[in-house]
Amino acid sequence: MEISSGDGPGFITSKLESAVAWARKYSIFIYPFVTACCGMEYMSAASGHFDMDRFGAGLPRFSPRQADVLLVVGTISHKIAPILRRVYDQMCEPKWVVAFGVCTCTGGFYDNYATVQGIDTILPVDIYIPGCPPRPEAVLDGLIKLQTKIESQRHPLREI
Amino acid sequence: MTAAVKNMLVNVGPSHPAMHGVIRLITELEGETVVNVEAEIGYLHRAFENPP
Repeated sequence: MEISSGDGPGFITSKLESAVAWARKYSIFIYPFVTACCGMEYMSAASGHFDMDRFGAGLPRFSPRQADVLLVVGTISHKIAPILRRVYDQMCEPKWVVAFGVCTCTGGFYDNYATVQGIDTILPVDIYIPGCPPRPEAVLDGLIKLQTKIESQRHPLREI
Repeated sequence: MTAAVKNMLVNVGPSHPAMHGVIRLITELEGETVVNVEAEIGYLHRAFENPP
């Protein structure tokens, strides 16, 4: 956040939009869309040992209408793809999408007729976390990159 | 006169955060008793049986 200490002690000045960006960066409510084996690794990454709450992402919301970040965990087949798109459409703006695992990034190992070759063919993806499965450290790195992206984006308080 | 009581249909899935995995269940409930379930599978079919 861009802040300046002003002329004297006791107060700081900033732009309201920067303050909103800072607040949103530390208020990541994740909707975990879990389909496959990466779900186990998500549970381990979300455990107390790795403490995702440090990045404001400690509380998963199990309704897309209450979530900010869609965390797509596990292989997306062509049969589940319309449901994933529907969950994405149910989320309120501002929203971000994280692809968790190589299956969601590119299709990975499953280069065949049944599997969507990367969820970016059906959704706009902000952060890719590859790995089969990704280590919890990689997930945390992805979260930090998401925070950096949220902070660098504009957060207009009205339509521009 | 009593109203006709019908069983209730509840759709579960295909993706529900309380479930591990993806499956669609069309359940028929009589009160709290599940009297019938129709399961639709295949949401995670990724051709695992065909190695590349």
